[in-house]
Amino acid sequence: MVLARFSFPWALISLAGIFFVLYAFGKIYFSHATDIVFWILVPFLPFLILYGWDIFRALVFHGGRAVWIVDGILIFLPYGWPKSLNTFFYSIPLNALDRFSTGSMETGSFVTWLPGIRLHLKSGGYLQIPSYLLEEPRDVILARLNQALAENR
Amino acid sequence: MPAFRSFSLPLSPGAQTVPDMPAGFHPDGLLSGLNFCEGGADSPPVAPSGQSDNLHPEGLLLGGLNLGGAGADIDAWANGAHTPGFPDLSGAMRGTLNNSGPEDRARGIGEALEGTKLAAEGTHGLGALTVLGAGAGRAAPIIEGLEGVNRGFVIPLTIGKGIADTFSDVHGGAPLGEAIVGNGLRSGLVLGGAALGQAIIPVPIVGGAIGGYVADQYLPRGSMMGHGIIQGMIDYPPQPLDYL
Repeated sequence: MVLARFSFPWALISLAGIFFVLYAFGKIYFSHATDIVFWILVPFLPFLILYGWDIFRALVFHGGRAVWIVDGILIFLPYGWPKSLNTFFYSIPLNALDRFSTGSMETGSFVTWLPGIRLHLKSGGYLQIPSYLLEEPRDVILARLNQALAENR
Repeated sequence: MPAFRSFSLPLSPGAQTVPDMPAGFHPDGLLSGLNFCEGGADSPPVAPSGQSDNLHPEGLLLGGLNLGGAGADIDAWANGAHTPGFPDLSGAMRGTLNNSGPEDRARGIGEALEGTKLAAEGTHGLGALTVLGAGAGRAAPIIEGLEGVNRGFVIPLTIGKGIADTFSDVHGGAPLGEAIVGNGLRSGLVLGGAALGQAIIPVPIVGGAIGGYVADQYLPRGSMMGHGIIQGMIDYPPQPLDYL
């Protein structure tokens, strides 16, 4: 059951941005203009490739799905660090979730205005869904998540 | 025949024929079959491409042989003392040969601030990655601490770099207004690049660091941006930069 899909313009902007970043790093490398910051940031480029590949797959093969449920497991695109190097998407059983709430994304930077949904875990802590990347309004996604949580509780 | 029309050879008035000329040279202006004197001695030098503004002010250089300026190397050709050399590029490299002034110190401060910011972001990211790899959760206190520390770095250091770049450009000869406007705009665009990177790359800290780094690498120098903006608002056509 698909709960939310990617916003097509945002997905395209994200893919274009990732391509540009990879192009820029490649150009800096081949023009021998590298510096220490370049080499500090290079280890994170696999995350970009993974993220871009997941978005591309979702758009082309899965109708742009971004949040969905399969067999009681909630799968979603997180705002955070990827959990593995196989996919950027998180998978978490619904019965491990306590509740949902809305809030701004914690980006670790001065960007504090991106809207999102927080998934509070029973074990403590929370995960984040970047709702600004999604097509449906945040309240609609939140209502669907609450309904799914109530059905699987 | 292409329009090679202005290689005027400054021969002395009585020198209708020059003895011991190199092969292919003709006193009427034919060198290797090309007529370089078509436009006459008083015509301004024009490059084979027709672009007269690409010429060296000292005259046209062809393989180290100065054919267009006063005191050209024809005497060296005549007495056999000529040795082919490289074109004089010192005019084009002037900005890079004298780099010990206050503008370079200010530029160095700016680069140090930007490097500090990006290195801090990168190391915070690596720290967070290490902690996550060790099994800690996303909401672990150390991750929140790293993100909190990082949040305090970005804006002050970006503004600091803009101020340092402004001083550098002013010391380098840029008008104060252009330097302030341009570097202010540049700092804003770097922050905008960081914000956009943080939005389209949903990895805490890293998205903004990458966005800011790429923006800083690709944006032109602040004084050039300010020059374009301010000259664009003035009636007469934009003037070329004369301090770079």
